[in-house]
Amino acid sequence: MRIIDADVHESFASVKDLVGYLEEPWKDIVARGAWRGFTQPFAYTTPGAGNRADVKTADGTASVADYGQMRRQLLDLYPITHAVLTGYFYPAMMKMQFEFASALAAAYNDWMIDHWLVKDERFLGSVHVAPQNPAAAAREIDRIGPHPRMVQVLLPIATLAYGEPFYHPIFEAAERHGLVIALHHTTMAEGALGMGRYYIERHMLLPQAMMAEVISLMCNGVFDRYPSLRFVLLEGGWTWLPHLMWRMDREYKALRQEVPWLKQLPSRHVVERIRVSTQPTEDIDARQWEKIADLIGTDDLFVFSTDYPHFDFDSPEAALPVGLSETAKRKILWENAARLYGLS
Amino acid sequence: MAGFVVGTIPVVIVRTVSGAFRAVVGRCPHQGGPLHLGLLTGTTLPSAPGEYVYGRESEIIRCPWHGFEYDSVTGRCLGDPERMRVRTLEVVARDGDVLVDL
Repeated sequence: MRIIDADVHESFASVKDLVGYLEEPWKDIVARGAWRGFTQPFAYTTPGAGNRADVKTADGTASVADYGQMRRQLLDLYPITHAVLTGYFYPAMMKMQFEFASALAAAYNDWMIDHWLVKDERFLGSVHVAPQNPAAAAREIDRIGPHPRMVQVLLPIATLAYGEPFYHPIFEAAERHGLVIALHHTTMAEGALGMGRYYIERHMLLPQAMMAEVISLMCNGVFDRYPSLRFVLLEGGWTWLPHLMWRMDREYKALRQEVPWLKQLPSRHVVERIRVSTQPTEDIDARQWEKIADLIGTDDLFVFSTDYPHFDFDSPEAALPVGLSETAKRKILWENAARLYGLS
Repeated sequence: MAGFVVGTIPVVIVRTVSGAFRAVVGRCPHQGGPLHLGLLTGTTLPSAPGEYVYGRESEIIRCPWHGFEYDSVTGRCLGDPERMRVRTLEVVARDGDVLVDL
């Protein structure tokens, strides 16, 4: 059964790989090592320090920047027809120097096209932007969005609430180019009470950040204002959808007067416009999976993803529960994502 | 820690710091991760909040993918011992050879 992998993380070996794609004054800053790139504000507690511990070359060095390794461990190992590259270098995490952030996003896009996208026909790309400067982000979408293999704009989740009108130029540009909006957490994502004290705690909190983004987009009218935009929520879970849909609808019926730009039941926007990636699959069996899909009202929302090369990788051979119908599996593994990205 | 494939069965043989050999079937029952590419390690023992007591050095096999921990003595998964385990195999060290009973 063929597969579209909706969340594959390509990487560079070092931020200095971007030097040739930057202009001054940024080029010199990165070349001199005056900025060392992002580091996570915690220690990974997994065997491979955030990645699968078996993503290594023969000499034992970690190789998340190695296309050949990705081919061996993912693209050629499973029947993957398309892999959507989602990066892991997110200038959206910068808390200052937003012109630099915009320059880094643009440099990353050019580097990614040269070093990943053109190497394999199965790759589809994400446009990276620095949303801290929405006008520059929109210009970057206009510049790179028309690339035939770019399918979405990636909005990394740190602490920005993307529904705010400030960010609307980004959605306008994405809609202009027929690009999907993908949401994916960063290492700076927080839950309602902050990051927590432990890595495990933070990892448990990630769905909260995703839910908060959906609520922000919903209440600020993004779904209504940009009616042809589609959204994919990556790696934020999905079994919470029934609750969120019911909760949003309940509040909408009582309180919608405050947000008259939200013009229909939120659950309808969810079903019509949002897709969710399956990884990390939770420990539910096929019957429970079908039950939750039934509560959502459709199984058109699920798109399969591995999250390769990260430690919480979902194996295409083992992640979906045994006993799902062939129809459901086909939809999850290929058809839903094909429809989202217009693939045939 | 070393991995071998016998027929279709992946086998992981480990040698603990005390010199004991142990062997388990090397496929993680969660999603099939290759255990021989994981870590042979110790673990944090049950303790009070905020207190770390490290122990069982070199007795725990950790999956390279999701980090599930398996006790090399019992084969049980430390995070879900009642429902998840890898099969343990008899090991005998004799005349410089390590023999595993499949």
